[in-house]
Amino acid sequence: MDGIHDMGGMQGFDAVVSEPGEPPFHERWEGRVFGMSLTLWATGGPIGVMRPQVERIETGRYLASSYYERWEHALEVMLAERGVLAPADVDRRVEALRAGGQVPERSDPAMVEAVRADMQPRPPARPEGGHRFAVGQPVRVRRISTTVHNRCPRYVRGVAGVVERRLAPDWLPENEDLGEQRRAPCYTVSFAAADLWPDDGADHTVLVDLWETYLEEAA
Amino acid sequence: MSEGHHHAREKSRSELRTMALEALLVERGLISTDAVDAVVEQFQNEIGPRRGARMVARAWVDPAYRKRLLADGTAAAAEMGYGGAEGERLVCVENTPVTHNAIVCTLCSCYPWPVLGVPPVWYKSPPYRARMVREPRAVLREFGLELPETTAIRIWDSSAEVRYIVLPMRPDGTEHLDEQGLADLVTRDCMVGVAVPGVTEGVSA
Repeated sequence: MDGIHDMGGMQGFDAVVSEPGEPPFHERWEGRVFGMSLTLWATGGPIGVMRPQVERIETGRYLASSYYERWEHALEVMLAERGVLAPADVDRRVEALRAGGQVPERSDPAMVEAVRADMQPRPPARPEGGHRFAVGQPVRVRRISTTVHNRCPRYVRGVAGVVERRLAPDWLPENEDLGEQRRAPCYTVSFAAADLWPDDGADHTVLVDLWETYLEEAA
Repeated sequence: MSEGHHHAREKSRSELRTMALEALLVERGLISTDAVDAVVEQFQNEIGPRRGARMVARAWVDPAYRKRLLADGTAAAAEMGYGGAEGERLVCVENTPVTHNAIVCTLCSCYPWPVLGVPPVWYKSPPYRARMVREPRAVLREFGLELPETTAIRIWDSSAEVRYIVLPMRPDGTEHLDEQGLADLVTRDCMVGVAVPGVTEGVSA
């Protein structure tokens, strides 16, 4: 979908501000949201891909939210969609916590093993080929318009670039959102800034990773 | 921040909802508190930019490792014991005297967790995501990095499943340093490509 998350090339933003000595998590709850999500993914729990849910956050709210606030929201939505927790369950629990309730402790060594394994190197899945485009070949990004999740940034749509590198086929993001699983070849495509923003006078190169379904032969 | 002082400050909405989710998921047996602890502990103490810095330093002293790192970043990280979620397809891009690389994720905040840890706030911020692909020289200047006009700038937008790390150039005058000493020169920002070792070193972690 053509949402606010797709920020590449937008103007009107301020300077980038970095925080010296920044910790991995600023507040305890941020680490808990991150840790709960990774635990559910590592154990095949009842959540799916997070990005589509983050992208569906209402525009004003998206901009006003922090990264982990978006994760927390997406986690709630994914659990609700799968019938695990209704929003009212969470509301009631929030009230109980406000009244002094505690988060219960539970130990599960097998689950700890599963999350640890997920943070270790694993044998790479390297599905082969089927690529239609060759390295060095000019390609143009299709002007796709869809309401479902995709990973084709607006700033490259309709623009011609050159295949820099073939990447292993990977799961189509659209199909993840639709609950299907299909791989398609991927590419790193190289774009000249002069083609992306012709009036800027910039001379750098932007390399974008794109699924084959987003590309067509450049005329 | 102490857990024991329930009335010390008002909890935020996200904090309360996170606690509610954890309580409910624990009760339903879908997560355990010690599994969540293990993830947090790993990302606070083990999985961070020191890992990437060790890889860079090794590449600087060991030409064979450098070659392997540039050919297959995932395998080169695995050699050091690093891998897992968000590092399954790791690609290392090399700075040269005429080329400077930097990484961004314009669509969300994709980042090579196993070798750099979780991304900093600025990397996830709208200004960085919007501007880095369009006006990288201006953004780099905000980090204190002024590149020669003749340097070719290559910005890698992690829009699919590959995660990128930059191999910076070894600074001059470091011939006396061993691998550990070299790793100490390599900051997170050098491996994202918003700094180079020895120039903006020490400005941020």
